[in-house]
Amino acid sequence: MPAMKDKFFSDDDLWKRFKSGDRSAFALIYQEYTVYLFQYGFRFCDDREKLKDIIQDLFVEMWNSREALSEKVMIRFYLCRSLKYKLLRANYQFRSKTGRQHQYLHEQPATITESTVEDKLIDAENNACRSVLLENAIRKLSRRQQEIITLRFYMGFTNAEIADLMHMKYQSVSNLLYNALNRIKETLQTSPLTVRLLETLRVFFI
Amino acid sequence: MEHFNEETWELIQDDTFIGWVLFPDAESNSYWERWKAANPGRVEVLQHARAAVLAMRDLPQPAVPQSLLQEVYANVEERIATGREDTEISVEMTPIGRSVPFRWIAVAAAVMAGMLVVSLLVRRNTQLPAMAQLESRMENDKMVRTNKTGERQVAYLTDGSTVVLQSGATIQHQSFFVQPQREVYLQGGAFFNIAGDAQRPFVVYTPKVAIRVLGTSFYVKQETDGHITVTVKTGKVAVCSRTKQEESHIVTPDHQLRFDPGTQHFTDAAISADETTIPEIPVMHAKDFIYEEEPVNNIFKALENAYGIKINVNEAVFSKCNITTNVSGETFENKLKIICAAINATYRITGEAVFIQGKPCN
Repeated sequence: MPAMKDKFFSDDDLWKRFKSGDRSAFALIYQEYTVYLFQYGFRFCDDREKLKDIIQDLFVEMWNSREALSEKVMIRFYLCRSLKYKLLRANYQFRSKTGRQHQYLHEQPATITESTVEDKLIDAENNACRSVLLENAIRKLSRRQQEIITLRFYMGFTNAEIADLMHMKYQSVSNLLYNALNRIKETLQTSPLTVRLLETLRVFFI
Repeated sequence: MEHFNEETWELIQDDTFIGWVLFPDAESNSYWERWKAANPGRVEVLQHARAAVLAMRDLPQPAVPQSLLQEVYANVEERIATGREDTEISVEMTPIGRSVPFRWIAVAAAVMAGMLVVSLLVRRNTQLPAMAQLESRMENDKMVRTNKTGERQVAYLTDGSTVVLQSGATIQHQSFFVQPQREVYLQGGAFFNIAGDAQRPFVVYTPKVAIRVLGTSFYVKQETDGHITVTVKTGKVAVCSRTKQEESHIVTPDHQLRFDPGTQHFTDAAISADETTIPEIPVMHAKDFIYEEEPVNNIFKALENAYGIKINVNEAVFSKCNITTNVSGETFENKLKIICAAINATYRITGEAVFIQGKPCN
């Protein structure tokens, strides 16, 4: 019977089924997580086609080697970690072939410009403003700080998993996150619009 | 510089807190409810920390076009299908999840198409007329059983559970011999009496809701307009919407949960008069599996029909074997054990079928 993805199926169950050769369990895995892999991958690689190829290969290799994989994994973490290693390898191969740097691993340029932020602010409801203010504050963070915010609060990774993904010591994860949050707070406090949007501050820092 | 609130920070550092906010389930909900009760002074901090985490979760993420995702799914599907899996019987495993309602239509159509074949498989059996009427066939690797009669019919499951199918209802499931979970897809109404097995939870899926069972009996009613009611007789079940899985509801005896397909909400419904009597095993089934000097070949056929499991047996060998036994309260495998012991035969369960071997009786 095909596995069904819902909260009743823990990662453990799904993984077990996948490992035993249940193709529908595997379909659930790639249908659930491909979007996260792209979102994570876009951080390092803006070549959409290349990223797509790498993600496809990742899943096919994962299926073919399913029996050899660990008994228990956090699937989302396992996939993001595998993707990062694949990207690193692809980047290394590209560099040694062409002598050029950073084809697949690079600093993602900020996608939101000041003007769009202001446009949004003018139009948006209070609630939406709050998120735009926060977006704006995030944009002022360093790349690593932005990355940790996504890994922690969007992907939901544990501190240990983040340490692994970002090649950091456990304590450094905590410091990086703490600094990122303080920086967000500072930005929000100094924003001229914040006065009108006290709610933002209240939510963030009582 | 004013630093980040210390108490908020403590929560944001806590992996279990983040796990609860982002992926809540019944267990973490109850943990943090208890936490709130034990720390009334920190409830406000908790709420703010939660709001902050959710605000950051909801920040815009890079857009991933649906077409790009579909390309990946198709590519992966094709490559693993043409890989070394080719040697297996290649039944297409339709991805489930959101597409399940459509799948049901396909299954229903397949059931209809298969009826001719089925009528050949269903043996006439004077001893057990009722059981022979349950239409059963294999759909991919799943057993599909449909109650085509106007009466309630019993489908026996190999783990010892029974399902009383209302007229027109269908269940679809695997044999449960080796699966780590016991899962049944239900269309229509049915009364479930589930054999307890702490190692293997029992889950009933309808197109809209999922019901998780922990050894209990309960009734599922699906109306044509999409309303679903779950009534519990004994034990308790957890029900959640297939789309909003974080919203799960516990149903206890004498309570009824009703799902509204329009609002996608659950409400506690009063048990109406016609539902106070939950349909149980019909009287005509009370004598199932009680035999007196019964040819053992008939018993194997009866088991085959009742459980939907193919039993391979050389009828010529056992043609002279008659036995008297009562195996009604036993699981499928225990029934096999008892019967085989009586005729000095052995049984073997492989995949989805049973093989019987032995010598002729005198």
